[in-house]
Amino acid sequence: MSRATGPSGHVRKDSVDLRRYLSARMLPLVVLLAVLVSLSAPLAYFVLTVRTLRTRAEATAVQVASAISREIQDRPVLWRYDAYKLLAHIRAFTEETSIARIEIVDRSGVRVPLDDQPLGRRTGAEPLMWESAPIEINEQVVGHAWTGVVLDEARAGALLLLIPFGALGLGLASLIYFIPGRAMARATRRIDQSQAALARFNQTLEQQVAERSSQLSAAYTQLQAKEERLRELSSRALLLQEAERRVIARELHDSAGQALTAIRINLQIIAQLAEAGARGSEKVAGLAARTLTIADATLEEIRRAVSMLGPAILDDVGLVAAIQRLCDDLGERADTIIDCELDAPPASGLSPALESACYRVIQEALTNVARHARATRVVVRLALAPRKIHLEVHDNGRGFDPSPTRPAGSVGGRGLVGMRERVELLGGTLRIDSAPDMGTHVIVDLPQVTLSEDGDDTAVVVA
Amino acid sequence: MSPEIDPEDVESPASLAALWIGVAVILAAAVGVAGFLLVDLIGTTREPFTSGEVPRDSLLYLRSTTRPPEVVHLAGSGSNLPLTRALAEAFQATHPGRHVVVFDSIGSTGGVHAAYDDVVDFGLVSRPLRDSELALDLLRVPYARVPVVVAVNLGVPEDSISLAELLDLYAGRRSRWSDGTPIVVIQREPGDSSHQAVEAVLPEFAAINQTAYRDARWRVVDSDQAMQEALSITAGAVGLFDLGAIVLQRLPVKPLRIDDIAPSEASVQSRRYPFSKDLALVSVEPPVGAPAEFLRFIDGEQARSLMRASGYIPLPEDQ
Repeated sequence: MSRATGPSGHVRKDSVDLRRYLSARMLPLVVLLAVLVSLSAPLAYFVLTVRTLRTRAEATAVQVASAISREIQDRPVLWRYDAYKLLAHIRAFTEETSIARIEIVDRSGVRVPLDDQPLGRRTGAEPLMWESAPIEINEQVVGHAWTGVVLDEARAGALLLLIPFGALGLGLASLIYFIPGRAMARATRRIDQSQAALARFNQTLEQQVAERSSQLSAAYTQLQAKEERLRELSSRALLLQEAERRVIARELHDSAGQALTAIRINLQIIAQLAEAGARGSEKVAGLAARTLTIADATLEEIRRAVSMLGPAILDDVGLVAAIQRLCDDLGERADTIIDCELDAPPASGLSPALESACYRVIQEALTNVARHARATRVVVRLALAPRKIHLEVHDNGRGFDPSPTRPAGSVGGRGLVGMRERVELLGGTLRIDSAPDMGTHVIVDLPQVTLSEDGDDTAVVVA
Repeated sequence: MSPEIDPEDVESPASLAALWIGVAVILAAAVGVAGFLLVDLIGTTREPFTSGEVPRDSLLYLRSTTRPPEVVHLAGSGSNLPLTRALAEAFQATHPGRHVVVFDSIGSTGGVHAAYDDVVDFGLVSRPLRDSELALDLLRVPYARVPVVVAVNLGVPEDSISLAELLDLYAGRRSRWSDGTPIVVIQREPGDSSHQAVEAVLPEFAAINQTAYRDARWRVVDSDQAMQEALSITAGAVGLFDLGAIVLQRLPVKPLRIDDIAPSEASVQSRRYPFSKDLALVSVEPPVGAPAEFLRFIDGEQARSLMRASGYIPLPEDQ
């Protein structure tokens, strides 16, 4: 029995050698069967023949005893001297039999010597089987007639039978020994093949498990990286949000606050002038006109700040109309031809975060066009697929080098970073194809999925 | 999948050894039972008797009678019987008060042993004594020589036969007489004195005779009485017989000449006729009383004349 180390390193038991097991246990039984089959019939023949010989010997002894009894009565004394005739008479009983010796024995057990030659057809030193019959005269036992039978006939017959029955026993034993052995060998072979196949399958399975584990490990690593990235983005979003609030606060303080302060002062002056009467009416009129201008500017500033806080226009008119307005605004402010190709229904059905992201990306891209591109033609595309959002802003302006070697904080740098962060925060991708004097092509793909379980990504993209 | 077999069990020599031991026990038990039954069936193979001296008071011998002193008892070879009975009759006629009992044939061997056992006064022997019989140191008294003849049924046309033809007859090389009658050979039992007489002259006859016995080629009779009856009534029969018995009993059989030499005292004495045997009496010691008288009688002229008249040659031969 051997043991082998499996591919995974643990020790497994090989299949049991069933043929060897069976052979080892069949051999004693087969030997027993061979011996019993070989010996049974010869032994039975020997026993039956011996019984027959014994019966024959007994019958011969009875006949001899009867003949001797007659001889004794017919020729007293002299009967024992007429050996030849007596022996010839007795030999008539032994023709064609296995009787080897016939002896007449006195009651004292002493053999009566009748002739130099034994009374029987055979001589020799082989052991004899003896039977006797009493010699009776006037109902008195005067001696015994003994007949000795050789067992040659029984022995020869038994030995002769031993040949075919020995062959029969060996044949049967061989059949019983080898047929199950061969069947067991075939079964063992099949079991071994099955075990080998199973071992190969196990090895393959373990490889597959290892591969899957490696893939899962890689995926887990990626997931951790993404989680890390998400945490960074969240931190970044918080920072952006905080920065944005500070900007708004500063804007409100610096613009709307100053303006409102100026308006308040102007209104105090106007009140003082109004108390002064008509001589101040011209100044009031002028001051009122300036105050109006300041109020208008303040309103514009507030509108702009509100716009920075959140595109309320999306709630008012929807994504498609809001983008259309961005395009219209750019067309009005700059001498630029804008193609706005919006392949989306008026009610996009997107989540607020996605709509806001799309809006902000296009807004930033168009702002960059307006500020830096000096483009004469801009193409804006929006395409909504069931699980994907595709955005493009393509201008033929002066372009720029989008390589990472550009100095940080250069023109448009923060805007592009913000765009990328917004897109990646939502699981999308942003690609900028641009080169100096080759225009700029901003391509954004976003999945129509949500980051939060409740589907509201507003907190994520509030910035 | 693989059956639930413990590999440790497969490699365990203990369970296998237990199995072998079980099989060995079964085989040993089977052999033991078979051996016991066989021994019980066959029994002992030792001789259930001894070879000592049979007690003289054995019931097997108790029918013996004591011999009266005036009665001479003789027993032995059948060849001796015709002449001995004729001599006994003549002895009783010339010796009043004396009786002679000649028992039926018990063969020369029986005669020797009966004499040795002192069951009879004389044993009748028609052949030379064997070495074992000589060792008994018996007194042997030859009293007659008788030609052994090739006797045939009276219907056989042949009157003479050569030695070669005799061998052909017993070897089966010749199957018919000259008139086409099938040849029927009548053999005596092995050891017969007539066969021995021929074998002494023709050694090939002994081999042919043994072959015939072995092949059971011819009918074998075991007494002179059976031989004379067979020769008398069987057409084409031929056998060895005593000329004296034929003459004395006037048997209806024909003795053939051997090479045209007729059996006679002269031809036998001159050895021109080849086959003859001596008849003798044996006794343990020199007889006295009636047996001695009988012995003297058969050596007398009356007895010798009777022998000659009956085809016998008295012994000792005349000088």
